Amino acid sequence: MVARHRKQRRATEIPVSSFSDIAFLLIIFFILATTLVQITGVITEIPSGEKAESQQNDESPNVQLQGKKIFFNEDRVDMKQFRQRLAKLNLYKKTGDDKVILLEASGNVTYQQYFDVMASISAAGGVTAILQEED
Amino acid sequence: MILVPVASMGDIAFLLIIFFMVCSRFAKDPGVPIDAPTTPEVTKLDDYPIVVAIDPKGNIFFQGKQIAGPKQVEDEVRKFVEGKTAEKTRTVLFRCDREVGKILFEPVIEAIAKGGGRIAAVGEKSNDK
Repeated sequence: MVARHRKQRRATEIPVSSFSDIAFLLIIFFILATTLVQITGVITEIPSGEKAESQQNDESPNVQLQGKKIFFNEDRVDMKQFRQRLAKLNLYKKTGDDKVILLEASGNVTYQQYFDVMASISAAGGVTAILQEED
Repeated sequence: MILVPVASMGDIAFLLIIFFMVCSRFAKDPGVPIDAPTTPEVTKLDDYPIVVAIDPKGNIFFQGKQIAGPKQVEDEVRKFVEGKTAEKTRTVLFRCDREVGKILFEPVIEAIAKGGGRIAAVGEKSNDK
């Protein structure tokens, strides 16, 4: 009997059976890791220049911010009272210049307070007109 | 016994991966870290193309690039809204840190308004009533 030596076949093929497993794992990763970013905020129309001046009249309600204090038509109010007084104005039912609320702020007002007031005016249906502080 | 052919599962999986990778949207203007103000009256904003931001130090950014001052904001906004009448197309997303003072942010707000833009001010919902 002649001994026969079988040549060992080299494994030249890359096993691809686990490719679909890896693919599904990646899909699940992207589905879970995707975050849906929702930007929130307030849309506000602020008239400028000539339009701002024409919309202002003596009867427009005015809001003054001085530091952390809020004055609505010269009366000192907190944010809750301010929103209640804005709601009473029924700005949604008004049109044009009647929706204008004059907003004046002193130098040490932060954007947080300003934004809160702007948001309240917009939520009440009003239009904010910025009054420049006289130097 | 019925055997379901699974040979194309790998192809489907890769197609789905490519779909999710291509459809993901990257946040615009990610480079200006700000602490947004909060108020109970916020609504969901759409994705607007123009972003003006003010960081905590008072630096003004237009589309992620730092600019000199409010006058440049007005010029850029005016160029952007030229010829546009629809409200949505002339809306500018305004992001400002909550601690920035009135001296810094008010001129920028006025510049956007003078440029003809409509302001969408970014803020977060608070639980105050």
